[in-house]
Amino acid sequence: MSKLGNLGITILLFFVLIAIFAPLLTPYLPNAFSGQPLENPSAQHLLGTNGAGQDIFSQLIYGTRVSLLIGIFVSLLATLFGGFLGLAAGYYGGCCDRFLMRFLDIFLTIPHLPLMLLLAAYFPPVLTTTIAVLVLFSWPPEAKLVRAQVLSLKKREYLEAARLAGAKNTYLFYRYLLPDLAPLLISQIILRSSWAVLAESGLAFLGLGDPTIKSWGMVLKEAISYEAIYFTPAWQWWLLPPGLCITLLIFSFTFLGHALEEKFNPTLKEVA
Amino acid sequence: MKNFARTKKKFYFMSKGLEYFFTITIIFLLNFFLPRLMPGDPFAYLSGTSVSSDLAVTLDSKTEALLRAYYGIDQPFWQQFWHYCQNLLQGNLGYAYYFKAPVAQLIAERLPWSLLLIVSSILLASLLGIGAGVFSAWKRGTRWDKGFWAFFLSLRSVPTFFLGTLILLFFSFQLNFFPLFGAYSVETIASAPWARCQDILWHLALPVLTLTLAEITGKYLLTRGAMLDTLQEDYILFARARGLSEKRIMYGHALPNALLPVVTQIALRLGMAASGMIYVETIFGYPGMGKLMQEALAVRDFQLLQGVFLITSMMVLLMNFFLDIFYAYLDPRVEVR
Repeated sequence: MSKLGNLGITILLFFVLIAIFAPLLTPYLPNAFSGQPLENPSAQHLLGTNGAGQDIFSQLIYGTRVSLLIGIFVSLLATLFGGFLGLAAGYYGGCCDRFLMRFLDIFLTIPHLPLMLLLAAYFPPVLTTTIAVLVLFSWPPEAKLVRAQVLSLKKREYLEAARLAGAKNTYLFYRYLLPDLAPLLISQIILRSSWAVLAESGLAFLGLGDPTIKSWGMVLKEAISYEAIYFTPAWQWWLLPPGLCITLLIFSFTFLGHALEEKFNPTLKEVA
Repeated sequence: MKNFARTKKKFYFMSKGLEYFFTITIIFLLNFFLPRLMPGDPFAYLSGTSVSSDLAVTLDSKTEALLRAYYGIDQPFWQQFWHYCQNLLQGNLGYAYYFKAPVAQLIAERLPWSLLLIVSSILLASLLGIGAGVFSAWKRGTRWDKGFWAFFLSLRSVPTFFLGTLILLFFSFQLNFFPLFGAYSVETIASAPWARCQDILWHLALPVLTLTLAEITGKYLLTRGAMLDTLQEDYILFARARGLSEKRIMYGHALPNALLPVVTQIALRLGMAASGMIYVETIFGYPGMGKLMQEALAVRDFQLLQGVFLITSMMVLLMNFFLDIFYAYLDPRVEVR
């Protein structure tokens, strides 16, 4: 794997470890009122406290869990659902396939964020709302990708031979299609996770997150909402760290995803 | 041959036309059905029965019934739909109950600013992104190419709202080079056109910079990929065999063909620029559609929220339409009359 791919996987592992061992890394819970409001960084509060006296460092540590879980959850659901539809559409083809593809094309031209905001605004601001909205908007591209791949796999001769030998569709699927699709699905899950983390923090930033669950986006949003954030040095420990965390995680997902794509898809090698 | 070209052109415009028709229909239907299928309605929010309501003043049931009748929410479905269509055709988007003004008027005030922001950002991002993509494909496999690739992918890893916040923080608050918010200074409204123009550009600079940086990576990757594909073609090999300069091959032979998929993809990704616009306008307090959407969201003004969604979608579709025409102009196989 490339140097950047290795860097990506290192950063990702680092965050995974932080997420797993979160309670060992900080004495406070993210929502506990552990100090005075707006404290400066000190030995007790490494990154100071926010306006409610909650420890910002703890929020970042526990926020790793939230961001990673959302990323994994959304990408798995989207890839499963989109992958299944794309597979069915590509494999069986016909009228349903054409209809679905036209519909997806149209769906993809409608600007997503305004529609997401509109949808999210109607539901109570809890984590399930965010996840549901993110899944709703992330399966169409997956379906299109998988369909395109299936269309090219379908023409392979070994598949034809197996079918002539009397193999059933389910057997063909498990024995041939899934193993061939796996590389694409794996790199898609990673790139989709990156999208989900980004989208979640974006929704939180615009005020559509669960205020009791401190994701990185929510910490950033609270920092921005503090009126004097730009005028005091508080931005250095309140605004910068959550933003950098999101950036680093996306960075690791992006380069890991591209490295995997390159590794599994030899035709891409000269390109990327 | 000529006949064939004509049929093809006809087919292109017909299928494009159908696509626009369906897209607009779906947007209209979404806009109509969403609020009606969702749990609760605007008045449930105002009356405090909705879960997400945190208003100090709430409606009593009598006022609620009155308002329902006034806005026609108590009518049967098809009648509501009929009114909805009628209103749309008259340009009536409803009344923003929080801002106490017609939605259409609020949007009309904001739309020009958004158009200014988004069009200049997309133009700038396309120009720079395509330029960098061609350069990268030209120097493929070298340090330059790898450096550009890593740089642009890293740039995309920075969320737009974080990027915007940092740019605002450093250029406006720390260095005082640029204004803190808004699209113009109030004191220049009455001044000479040239001074006013300067003032508007000065306010536009940072939002455009942020949105351009957010948009540029997509354009770069697309161009680079399309150029690398095109460079594999036989006619490029032939051009090289004829001894043409690398520069001439890049710009004269490869780029015109590589541009076609790039323009298509730019059109498809316009919706994403609309997302970036919401973040950028929110951060820089830029009085466009995105800021309006965020304001409407904060107070849950659903009429306004839907109006903004409708017009933003239409704006994106319109830009899509222009890009389609541009595509037909670029691709000689599609003749334009």
